[in-house]
Amino acid sequence: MRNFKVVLLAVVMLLGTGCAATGPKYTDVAASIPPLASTQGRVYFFRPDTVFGAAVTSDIHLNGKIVGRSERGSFFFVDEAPGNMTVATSTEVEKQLTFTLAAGETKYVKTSVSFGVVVGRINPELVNSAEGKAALEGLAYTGTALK
Amino acid sequence: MVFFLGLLGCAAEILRSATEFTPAPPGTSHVILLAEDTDVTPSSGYSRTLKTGSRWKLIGQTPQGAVYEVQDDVFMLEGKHMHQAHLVVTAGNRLVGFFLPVERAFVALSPAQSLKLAK
Repeated sequence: MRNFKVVLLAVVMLLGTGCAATGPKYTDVAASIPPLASTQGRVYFFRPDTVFGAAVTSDIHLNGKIVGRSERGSFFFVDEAPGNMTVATSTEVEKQLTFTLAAGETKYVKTSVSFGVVVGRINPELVNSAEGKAALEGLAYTGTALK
Repeated sequence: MVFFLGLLGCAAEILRSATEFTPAPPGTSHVILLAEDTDVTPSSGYSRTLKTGSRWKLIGQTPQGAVYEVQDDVFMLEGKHMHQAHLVVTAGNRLVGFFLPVERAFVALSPAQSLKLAK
């Protein structure tokens, strides 16, 4: 019975409503996104606007520092010096993604929610450029203010 | 059972060993093209499919074999965490494992598998 309640609580948390992120849409800010400096790489972080797990959020860490938040229907980007990248999200467990970033390169990191014991997990994964670019359309920008 | 193991977070770290990586000389442009889908399962972690038509560029060498990076796509291994990964291939187009560039580590594929390449 107790296990059933735990699973039920998890399901309620995962299916519970969570508001989509607020902010200007990609199409409204795309022209304001600065070109990438030749000495740096760019990482876009995004989370599709899906109801499943909408209430589950997490800070996103890049190489140990918080760069943004995984929220339903949002995206932002970070420019970094080339090198090794470790992305981490944390809810009931920490999930990591490791990849390399070269100068002039742009990579796309998708975060999504999966079942966990209580609150679900936020999983970061790399997607290719075609998928990443297409996914940004319609998402809300939650990064630092653009000029 | 699998469902509950998943809930409990029982995915294991990918078994790997440190290795040496020597980058290919500048100008190296050798690319292989896969002729068919190839399902691979590392000694730990989840299975992956190497896609038909995917292009892999030679980027260096490890003691275990030549290292090829996918082009215009991403390839990752997944265990407890996700890792960008490259193929490690020996003579005869034998896929013997994977190279994790961030961890600078080799992940064995046992048994090794033959890759069918397009001409």
